[in-house]
Amino acid sequence: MNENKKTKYIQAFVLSAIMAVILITALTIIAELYKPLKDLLKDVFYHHWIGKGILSFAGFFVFGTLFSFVKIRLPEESRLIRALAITTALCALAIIGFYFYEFFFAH
Amino acid sequence: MIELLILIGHILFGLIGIFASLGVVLALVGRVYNHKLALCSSATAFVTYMLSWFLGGWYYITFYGSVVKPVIKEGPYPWAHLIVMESKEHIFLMLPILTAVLTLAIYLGRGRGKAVAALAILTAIIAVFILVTGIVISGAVQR
Repeated sequence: MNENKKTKYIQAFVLSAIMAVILITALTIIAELYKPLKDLLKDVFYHHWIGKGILSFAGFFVFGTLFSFVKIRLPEESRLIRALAITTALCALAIIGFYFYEFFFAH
Repeated sequence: MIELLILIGHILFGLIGIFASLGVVLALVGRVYNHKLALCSSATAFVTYMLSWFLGGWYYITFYGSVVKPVIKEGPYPWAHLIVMESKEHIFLMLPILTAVLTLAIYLGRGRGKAVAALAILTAIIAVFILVTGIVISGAVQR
């Protein structure tokens, strides 16, 4: 495999991972605030948590594969990886902060 | 009995995954880059997080929600479920994705990069966070 192809695969899957991490966070917070979404996930996937897991993980592989073959210009590899690390840290903090807020202030 | 075995499996695979994640960090930030250790550790972390996910998910859906959760919520530490468990179960979903990216990057020869090392360190921090939250939740189950 040549270097360009390797770079393309990494860029594609890192971008897809960023999207998946954002999707997990968005689904987690929105489903708590908007009950119909939680119910929809429950109806389709038996449990809302299973739904979030399947959607993010399957989405990660599907979009990663798709981005690998579609001809689009993606940001530089190490920049994307740093973006993934920052996005993950912020999303994890957002989830913790949201449940703190829910526990102490929302009810 | 089966719930106990499933829970033990979930914990064991999770622990192996955490050690593997720490192994990835050691391989990447050590004085000499160790490609074999990095690739082996990251692949192990990915596989064991997947196994821990399935076993933990099974336990969570069939047993935790109906038996353990009500005990915690009605006990002296309801925050252990409402903050800690809720955060744990959702942040955990990021771990298999992060380890998949790390395994791919290392496999394709990008293990020497600083960005990959930073991602490996963050993954290990999240993995240890998941371990600590698991301990807190277990401690909160009091009748």
